[in-house]
Amino acid sequence: MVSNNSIEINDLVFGWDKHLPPIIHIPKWTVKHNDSVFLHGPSGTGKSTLLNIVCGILAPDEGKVDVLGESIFKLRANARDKFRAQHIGVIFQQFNLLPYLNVLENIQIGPYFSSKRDINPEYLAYILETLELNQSKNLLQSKAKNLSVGQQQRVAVARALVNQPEIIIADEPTSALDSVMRDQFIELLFKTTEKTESTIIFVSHDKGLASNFNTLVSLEQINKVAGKSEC
Amino acid sequence: MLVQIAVSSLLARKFTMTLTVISIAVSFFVLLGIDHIKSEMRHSFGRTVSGVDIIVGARSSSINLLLYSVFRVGNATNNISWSSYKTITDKPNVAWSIPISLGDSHQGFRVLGTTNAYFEHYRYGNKQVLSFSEGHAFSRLYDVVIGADVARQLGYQLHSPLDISHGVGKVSFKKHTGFGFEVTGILKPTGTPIDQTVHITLPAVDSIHGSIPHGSMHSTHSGEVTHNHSMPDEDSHEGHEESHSDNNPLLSQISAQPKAITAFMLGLTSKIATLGALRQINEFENEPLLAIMPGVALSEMWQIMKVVEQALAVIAFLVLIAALFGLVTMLLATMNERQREIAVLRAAGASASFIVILIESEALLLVLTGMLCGFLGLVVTMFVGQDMLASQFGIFISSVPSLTNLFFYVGLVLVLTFILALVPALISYRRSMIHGLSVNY
Repeated sequence: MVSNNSIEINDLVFGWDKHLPPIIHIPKWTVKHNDSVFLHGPSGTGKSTLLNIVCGILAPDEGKVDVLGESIFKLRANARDKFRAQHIGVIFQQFNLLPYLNVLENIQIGPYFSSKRDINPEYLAYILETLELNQSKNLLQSKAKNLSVGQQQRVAVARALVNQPEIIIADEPTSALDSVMRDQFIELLFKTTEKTESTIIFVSHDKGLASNFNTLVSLEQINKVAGKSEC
Repeated sequence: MLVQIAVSSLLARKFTMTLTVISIAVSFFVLLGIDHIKSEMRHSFGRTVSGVDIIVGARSSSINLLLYSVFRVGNATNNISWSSYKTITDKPNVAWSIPISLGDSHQGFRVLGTTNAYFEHYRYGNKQVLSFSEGHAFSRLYDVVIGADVARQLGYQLHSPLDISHGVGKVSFKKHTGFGFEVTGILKPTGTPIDQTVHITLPAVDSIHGSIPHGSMHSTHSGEVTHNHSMPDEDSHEGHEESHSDNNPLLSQISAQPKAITAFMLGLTSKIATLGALRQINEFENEPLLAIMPGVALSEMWQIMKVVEQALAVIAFLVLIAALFGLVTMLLATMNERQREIAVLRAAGASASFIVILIESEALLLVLTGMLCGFLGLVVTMFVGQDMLASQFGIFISSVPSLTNLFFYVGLVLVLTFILALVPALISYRRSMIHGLSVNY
């Protein structure tokens, strides 16, 4: 099962509706292990949809999706969900947290679904330290809805990383942040993933961030139907 | 974690949740309350009289006769003459008889005129005999035996003096003061209307209504039309042969014969003779009489009550269904704002079934809380309302609903909730399957 690639996609076809032409057709796309990928493209070209497929939430109509050497759509739905919990950390643009839980509880959601009930305390302390979340006890105990957007995104990173996943998927995580916080966020993201050597797939249409990443991918390059259909 | 998320999520929406809990509590209160009163009423009525073979009264409906003679509810339409009573009870198949005379009240409690046969032969519950916690049965004309509730609520003890008034209301326009009634016996609690009854001797009843001349007091009885004690011609019998002097009533006076009584109860020597005796009394020539068997009349009453009970049960059930639909509506209404939460959970690795279970648990938690509130509300209400029900309707209920029924209804409501909550649960399941993690659609 040892593979150099974190993600390997072959002949992927996906459409929202059988009667409409597919919106994604990717003959081949691979992401190398420990790579950091900047995925960009105009909106409506299926970036989020592709991420949903890689996460195992949306099933493709055709094709093969291997994540960490595992053909995820051959797994049963529950096993796929557990696979996601254990190996993939997801960060959205906004609303990453359950507003009524406190910071610590929000972070604990990650280990809960991966069945790794015990968080490595040293690692947790390290993440909290790096993300500047452990400055006060009050912050960890505050409800997520009372945090600033910048704080919320840092908590989201903490949750995404707490299981030490091999892959981090970030879907426009900085679009709700101002430019100072955006740069800070990118810096922290790389700093915290240094230890875990995670593969990062970062989606954004803000090309100014591209220089931070090793690989630059335009969805239009890999998606053969991109731009031809409306979403 | 699941429970923690469910509870926190509910607490985060306190206002809507509280309203939903209240609506469920109220409907569960109604459902359980109706069932509780229904079964307690049957139990209470069923145990009020036992060992009495026949009850005889003036001709009216059997249920009416049963209600006023045993449960002290309602009033007699007419009286029975003493001579008819004598004729019937002198028959050889009659083992014992209890004459009763109703129509007066004392501080809102019904007054019942009778003889010592009442304390000797009346049975309640599982053929239990009336027993005295203090004192004894009648030995003099103005002796009074009170039920346990009367003693407790009015604070009467042995030898307390009391007044007996006309009518059955708590407030009487006219009082029979000056007779020197005195408590000589207090009965043990029975859980029947006897606890709420003031027992006096038959001649004393006649005395306060003037059938037996009572010196100067007699002149106060000019407005006889208004009082409930239906003795059409009682005043014409002044100077009755049984008249006695008021002072120092002697033991012999309590066996004095009144002009009329309201009803009487019979014990027969042989149960087999009951039907024959019923027919004889119902065909009695001197006076139109009605004889009933308490058990038969009771079941006739349940037949009538059944329709009402069923209607109430249906209404209670519909109220509950409405409350549950309210719950589902509330869950559905919040589904859109929760779509984000669900995406977060899914991204963190929650399976779609986790989402279904989460929404189900929230619904069930709400309903359980609602039912607990409704149950506690009912216990408190019953505890407070016990005395009112007992004194107004002669229904003795316990404040705690039966656990078997409680578990049945809790189970029923939980199953219904589970089924109804599948609607929002499956909708969010489907959405998360179709739209994936994207929130903006």
